[in-house]
Amino acid sequence: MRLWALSIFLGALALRLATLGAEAIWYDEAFTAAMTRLPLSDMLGAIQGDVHPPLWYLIESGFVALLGSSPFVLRLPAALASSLAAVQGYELLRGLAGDKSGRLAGILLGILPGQLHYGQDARMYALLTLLVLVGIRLALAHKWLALGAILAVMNWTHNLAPAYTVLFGVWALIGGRRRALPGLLLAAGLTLPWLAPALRQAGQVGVGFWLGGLANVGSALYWLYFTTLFNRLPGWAAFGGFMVSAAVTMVSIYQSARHWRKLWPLALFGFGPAALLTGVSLAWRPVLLDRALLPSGAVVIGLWAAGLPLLSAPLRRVLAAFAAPTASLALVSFFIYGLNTGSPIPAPILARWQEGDALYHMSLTSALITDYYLPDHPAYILPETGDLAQSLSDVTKDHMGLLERQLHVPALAQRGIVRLWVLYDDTPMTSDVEREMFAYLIGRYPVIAEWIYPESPMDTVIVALLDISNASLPGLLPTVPRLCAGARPCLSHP
Amino acid sequence: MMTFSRYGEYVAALAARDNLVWLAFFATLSVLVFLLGLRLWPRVQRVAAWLWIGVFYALMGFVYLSWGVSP
Repeated sequence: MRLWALSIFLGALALRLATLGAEAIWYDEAFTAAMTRLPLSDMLGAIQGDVHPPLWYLIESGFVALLGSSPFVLRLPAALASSLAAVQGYELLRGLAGDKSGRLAGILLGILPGQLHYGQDARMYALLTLLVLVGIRLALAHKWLALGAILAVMNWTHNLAPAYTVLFGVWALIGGRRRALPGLLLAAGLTLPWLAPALRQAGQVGVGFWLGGLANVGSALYWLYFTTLFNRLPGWAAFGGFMVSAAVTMVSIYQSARHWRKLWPLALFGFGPAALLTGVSLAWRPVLLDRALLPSGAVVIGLWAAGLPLLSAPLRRVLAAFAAPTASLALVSFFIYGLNTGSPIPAPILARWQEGDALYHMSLTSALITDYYLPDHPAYILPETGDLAQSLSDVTKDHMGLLERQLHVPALAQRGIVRLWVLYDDTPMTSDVEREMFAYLIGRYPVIAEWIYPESPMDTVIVALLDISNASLPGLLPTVPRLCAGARPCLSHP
Repeated sequence: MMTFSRYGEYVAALAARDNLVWLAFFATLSVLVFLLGLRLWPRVQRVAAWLWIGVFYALMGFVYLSWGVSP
């Protein structure tokens, strides 16, 4: 058995390490990296103004301090947590449904792209998955005190962890009664210091938060596909992917229903958190974050592993013929499509950079990502960019040293900057102020050169090199003319 | 208060995706219920299941051909 556990761990880890540092980091990972660069007091201050608890950033800081800040190192804690989660899935299912199911759970958790992706992401979702799987095993073993400690760690890992910890709490109260109370009190006591900041963070999150609301029933079901087969399937195969994840789940539920007395925790943690978050989204504001349901996805994969071996041989062949090609395509697609290995820094910046140049970011997204790759290049940020509806609060920006870099162009000219590399990303998340200010800048200052990169139908990156040597300093901030009524006119010079 | 005039495109893209999700979900559910209904005739069920898989991959192939090779 130990050999199986070790094999699953090493196999899962090898698959995660194989391309761990290959992909360019994205905004959230750049934020993680930025946190690890800050002194502890500033890091904790910056986190208070953000939307996540500090535990993950403290773990990342430890790894960065020891091993450096490459993308590989930033993602290593997630790879380790995700590989350990595969082992926990193996142990959990072995205990609930036998060796065969245990092995299948471990293998599926190791290779399914949904779990694999977050095992290569410098964020806290793989850790949350590991904690939930450990928590289920502890609850099954009636180790309530240890469970209490794990629940507290979950609450310090992600602000949506209560979708799981509440269910654990109910389970402990019903299953352990008085014996579970010390554990629950421990969880409450250890969580208490984070309660006030968490509530403050929840209050700060604006109504225009980027998380989309529930459009239809599918919004509450998408996580099932996302956390298992993942969304790197090519567009033409996505519908098939939805069907496969739904079919395997339905067949597994049907097959394992007669063993519900043993398997009910899988149903509870597989579907309970999604139901809770859907309910909160309907009653309050959108909180159905698909990646926060990664632990539920892992538990559903456990349900697959419990149900599939119970199929009769002919039906197993039928289901395999249905699911295996799409699941294989999902895995192949994971490593081929969407693996964005190119540098996120536009090539002309590196090729034509000269003394007196500076970067000018229209959004915090490009600022944080570029800061990671080009920490020594002077970079400034449009003062009007971002609010918590899109990105960072002023508290966070202050601790990160971003506020002092938010300057208008005339102030940059006063600092001796001659040429400005303006980075503008036109997406549905771009605020109108950013769009209008970009149009204003390329109309107001001579454009030396401009590069347009259509990243996707909804996303166009524009780099404009401006000559600001003659920028004057007005007494007041420039009045922003409404140069573009919609998105598209802004892509050409006004 | 910031405004995001293109935000509707993001919401619309999500809604289109989620429409496909629930369509896939209920299509799957209906097929499985149909196959379950055939449990009394296992041989018919098996033939129906293989037929369904044939239709499924034929449809996927059709979408692939009309979509193009690129993802």
